[in-house]
Amino acid sequence: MIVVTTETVVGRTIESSLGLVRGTTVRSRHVFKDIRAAMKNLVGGEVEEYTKLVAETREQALDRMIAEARARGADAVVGFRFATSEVARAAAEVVAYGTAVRLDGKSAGTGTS
Amino acid sequence: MAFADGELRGEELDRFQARLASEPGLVREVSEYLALQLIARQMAPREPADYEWDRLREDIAHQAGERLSWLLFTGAVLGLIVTGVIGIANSELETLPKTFALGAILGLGLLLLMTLRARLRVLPYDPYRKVER
Repeated sequence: MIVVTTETVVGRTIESSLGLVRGTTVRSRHVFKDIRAAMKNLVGGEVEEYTKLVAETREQALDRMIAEARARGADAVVGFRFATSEVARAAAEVVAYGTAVRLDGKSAGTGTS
Repeated sequence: MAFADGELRGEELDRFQARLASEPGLVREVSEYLALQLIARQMAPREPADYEWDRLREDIAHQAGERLSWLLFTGAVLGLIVTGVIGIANSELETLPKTFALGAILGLGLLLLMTLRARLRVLPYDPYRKVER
């Protein structure tokens, strides 16, 4: 599945648009990680616990969006974006969205960009 | 693995999903494959600080300090909860409010245990916990 942030896929022609696809998830860390993160907040520097949390959330949202695009028979997702919001303290919410498209006759690639 | 790559369609997909519903071992296999895919697409090299983190984690004094602090903290919190429950049980509150207070604490504790049980049950099937950054 090709996933690009641009409106087109370079070198390919968009045959048809299959509409909006999105993946959403909200994840949290357990309370002990929150306590450790609170300590790191006091002394500064990267809070790895939250870096990991946001990264996990981002990847899951991306995978869910790709799964929806595949279910619609898409070859690619164009105009891909991430959006975040806060629904609960110490929880990360990420929405991954884009437009699923079918590309011209040639088979689709497998990378994400 | 065609299912994880989204290559199964129609009847094939239905058949595989039916197998997933009845074969926990297969679910675990799919999860492990998804975890490998996730790791493969996180090919960013390690950062210099990562090596120092590793050394710190192997440091005996650091390990001992961490273990002691967690032990003290969790032990004290559990002690406080138990003391609170005993305090309520022995208080001069009337029977009905005392029962409600103890019931609420017991209910919350049970709810926490059930939530923990559910989390531990699905943990092996959550490939995203392998994502680092």
